[in-house]
Amino acid sequence: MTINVLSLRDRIFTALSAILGTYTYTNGQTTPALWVEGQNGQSALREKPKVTGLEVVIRPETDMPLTPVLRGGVIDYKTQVVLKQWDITKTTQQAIELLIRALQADLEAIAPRVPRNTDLDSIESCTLTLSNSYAWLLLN
Amino acid sequence: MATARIDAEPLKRLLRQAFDETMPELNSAFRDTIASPVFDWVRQTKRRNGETVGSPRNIVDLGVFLNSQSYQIIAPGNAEFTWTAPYAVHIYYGWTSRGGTEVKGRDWVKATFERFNLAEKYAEKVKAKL
Repeated sequence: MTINVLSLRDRIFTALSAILGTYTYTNGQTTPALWVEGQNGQSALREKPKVTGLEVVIRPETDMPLTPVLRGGVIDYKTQVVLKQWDITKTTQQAIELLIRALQADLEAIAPRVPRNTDLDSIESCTLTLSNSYAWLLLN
Repeated sequence: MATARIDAEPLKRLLRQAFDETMPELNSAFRDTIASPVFDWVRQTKRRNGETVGSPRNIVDLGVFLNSQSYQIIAPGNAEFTWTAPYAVHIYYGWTSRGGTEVKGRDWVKATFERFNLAEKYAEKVKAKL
């Protein structure tokens, strides 16, 4: 069974609601900085808003390596959750700890934090990978 | 009563020596990959060294990252390679600039093992010692 992205979005929102940053659109509307990336890397957002604070980007099923097994197969669905800290005075550490608690069994890996670098003028980010496998067997 | 006993120490020593002799080759292989134009990129860049590069490209500008590479045999048959440039992790995993530009990661370790067959090189060293 694959990860339900909307359910995942809700779980992440619940876990991080107190520390999530903000998207601000050109019309002044604001929403929590949490979005699900569409297929082929396209944004599900109509416009790219201004972002402040902690942003969370969900990249659903970014990789699906197929492992053949005897008369069947296993598809390993991987979903990435990318944390970006646009506030250069803060880190992603608290968000990582909260998501470890919230996502536990679905978490496969947490990449090292990529810290802010002043030479590159980069923001801090961290990628969490969730994995769900789907197996089938041919019977005849 | 008869007993048979094998002294495995010479064989273990041989395997350790072969491993130790393979690591400089792996060290060179990492450096060769980093210096090779095998990494796809999305646009042209004017580097600090004055060069303008497109795609594919290598990961060498002033050479700080390349020259930050070192390795250490930390236990018999166990070597650790490190890259101490402060932006090595950014190169590996990619980064997002404050302006919103996303730069994808460049996995030079995976790229190296696609070009360098470590098991084969090690086996060659072992065979040469038998």
